[in-house]
Amino acid sequence: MSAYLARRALVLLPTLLGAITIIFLVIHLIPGDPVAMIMRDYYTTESASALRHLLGLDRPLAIQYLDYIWKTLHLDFGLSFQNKRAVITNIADQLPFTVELGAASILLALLIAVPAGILSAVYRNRWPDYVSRILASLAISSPEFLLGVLLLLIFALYLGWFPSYGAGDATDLPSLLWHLLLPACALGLRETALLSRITRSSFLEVVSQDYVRTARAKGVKEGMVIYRHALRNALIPILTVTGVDLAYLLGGAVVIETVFSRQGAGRILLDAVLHRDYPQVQGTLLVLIVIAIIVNACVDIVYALADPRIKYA
Amino acid sequence: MRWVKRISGSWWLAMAALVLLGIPSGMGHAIGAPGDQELRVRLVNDIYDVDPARIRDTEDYSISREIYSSLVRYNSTKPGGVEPDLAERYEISKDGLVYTFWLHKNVKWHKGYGEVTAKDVKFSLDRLSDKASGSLYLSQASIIDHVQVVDDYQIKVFLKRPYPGFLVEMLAYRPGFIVNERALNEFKDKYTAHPIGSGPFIFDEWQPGAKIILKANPDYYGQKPKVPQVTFVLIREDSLFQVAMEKGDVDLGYFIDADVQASIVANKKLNKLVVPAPQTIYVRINITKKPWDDVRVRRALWYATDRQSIIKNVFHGLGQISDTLLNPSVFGYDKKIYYTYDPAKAKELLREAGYPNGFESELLYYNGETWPKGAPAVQGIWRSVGFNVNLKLYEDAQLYEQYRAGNFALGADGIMRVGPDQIYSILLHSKSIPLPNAMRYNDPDMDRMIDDARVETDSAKRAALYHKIQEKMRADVPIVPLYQPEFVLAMQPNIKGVVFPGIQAYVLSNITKEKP
Repeated sequence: MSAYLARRALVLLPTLLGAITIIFLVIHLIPGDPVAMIMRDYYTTESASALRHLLGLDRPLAIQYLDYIWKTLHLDFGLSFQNKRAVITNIADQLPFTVELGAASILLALLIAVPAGILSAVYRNRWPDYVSRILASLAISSPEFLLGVLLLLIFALYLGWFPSYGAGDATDLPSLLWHLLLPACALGLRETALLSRITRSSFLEVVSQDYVRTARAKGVKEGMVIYRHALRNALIPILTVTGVDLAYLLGGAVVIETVFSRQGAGRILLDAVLHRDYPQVQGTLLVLIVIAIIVNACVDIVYALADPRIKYA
Repeated sequence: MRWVKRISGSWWLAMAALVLLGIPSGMGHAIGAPGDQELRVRLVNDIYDVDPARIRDTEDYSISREIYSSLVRYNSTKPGGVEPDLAERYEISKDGLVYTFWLHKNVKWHKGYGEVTAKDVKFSLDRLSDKASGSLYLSQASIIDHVQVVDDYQIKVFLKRPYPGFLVEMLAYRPGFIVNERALNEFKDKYTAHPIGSGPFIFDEWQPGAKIILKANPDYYGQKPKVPQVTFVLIREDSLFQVAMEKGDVDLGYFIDADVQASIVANKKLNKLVVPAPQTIYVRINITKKPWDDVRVRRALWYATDRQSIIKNVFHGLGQISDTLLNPSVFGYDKKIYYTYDPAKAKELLREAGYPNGFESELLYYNGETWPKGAPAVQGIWRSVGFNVNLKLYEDAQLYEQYRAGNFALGADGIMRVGPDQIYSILLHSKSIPLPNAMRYNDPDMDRMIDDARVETDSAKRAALYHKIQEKMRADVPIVPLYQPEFVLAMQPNIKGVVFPGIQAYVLSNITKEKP
């Protein structure tokens, strides 16, 4: 396992270099001038060129790239063009809220989707299956923002049970939880639907395998057959999708963050792109990519724990 | 299938536990409506910078107004548009070149940074023309020749040329706040998170993307705040702010979107002030691009714009038509309407210009202010006259790029300023080409009139000059003013003392919060 992890770490370096090169090129080559976005109505040719020089944007792109790589190697992501705070501080302030939201939505999705998927598989082509599948289809086709707004109107405005905006006080756990539930539900619905469908199909495939029939023939109790033998093997695709989605949700929760007026990495990334805040875009994406790689590595490790046949040498 | 029930049951139990864990803990907390010791105010966007040399946005200004003092403070309801603040009185020399200010004594900086003296004022004004400060006001501050400290409480500002807008447009506006040198040097790049002022509120905490907390300044020399804490909460979307207001989670804030404004105006549970915004929404024309280089075509566009109908049907009557970029509260405003909606005249002008059947063109717009609704509305109205305009939605950065490069025919925009020179210098003066004068409007007569009006100390002559500038803009039509919107400033019924200072900001020290 340790050799495998070392190899993964080695592969990480060229992956990161490729990723940061692509990020650098894309953000610099799309139309839009960060200096104009900073100066807005105060733009004058003279002061714009002074600011461009101050920010180092008047240097050739290749020099800017080399400078960026050098600084990144020293973990120096620079200052945001917009709020002038250290890029890494902005990320450190915002990312926990997104991690919290992504993890809660995945947790909620797993808690609902796995039993729903199993029920659907066990009662295949009977009414619990139909209900589960119809609900899953509806959920997959519902835009997140729509559900977010509906939840906000019903549970925050009309029933008054939940706050209408914000992520809560970072030092107060109940406040965080209370602000988290509605957005986590809104964000987790699509995941729930997806995971319940995957659980169903994966479960159906596994229960038709020979070893399950053998287990039953040996007289193992049905509950034990399902729980010990079938469910564990059916978990692999569920883990795969969960891992990929968790990584996606860290950057892709921006719609729900907006609907619930929450801070988060998605929001700073969007704002940074809109304002052509190069250092913030580069830094945020790099952190998100590293997290995605780590999550994927963790999923690979969990595979081995879930399925003893998988071994990493 | 007992095993299924057992397994499913355990999952459901776990989920119920999670939810139940949250519910009582949340209910036990004061989450939702704020208590009477905290005033929650909406912030539409996060702040950019509260260093006065770099204040750029409305939000920067409205926060800065609460934490800093300035020599004079903007108030459109007062004669001349200003009222004394840090300066208890001031004098302007007859030639308009020397401004003398006498400061309040014993004014304290926040957080133990000492006393505010004339040296601080000099430092604050000097750094506006210092490139190293990253000042956005280099051009405006170049009018200052030098600043002389007479003693700790008296200061003289010498101008190179007379500038009658000096008080309103500079000292009472964004660059005019007085900063503490020691704090700036101490916090450097981190200053925006730790600004030190001498205003009614102390900047306590900034959580970027979420909120800003201000605490009442017990040592404030003016009207002391009545609410101990103000929390500015960031809610970007008007419709989401509406939910927060109707639920009672926020106490006070401006609504911008006309549809939501109309809904709030109809809401009897909330109190509101409906006030004219110091803002003009306009269409800019690239006058170097055919066929828009023909003034007859540009005039035809103005005649073809049924602004009254747009205000009534699209913006719910919340706005006024205007033929100028100035607002009623701005010096030199000419309220007369010259271009009444006249499609026949528009068609005639198009025919004269050689376009009897109209032509195809484009309108670039952005997802801000009133344009998502305004652009389709003008498109429909213009089409009936022969302007077949394609709408192109751009994000801000790309829009600026198109403007800067001149790759557009018509462009949507809006401007909000308190003085006429701020508006005309940046929009219609040739030195502002290519930005913000993206129209490429380059007219020596207009340049001269703007330059003359800026330094004219005789009020009547200055007003006449601004009338001429407006007249020339109507003749040359580099811009078609669409309308001047209104703000809806909504508040909970227990919030008292809310006044509109003539600009999108608050006078928070005036506000009391009664128990609901």
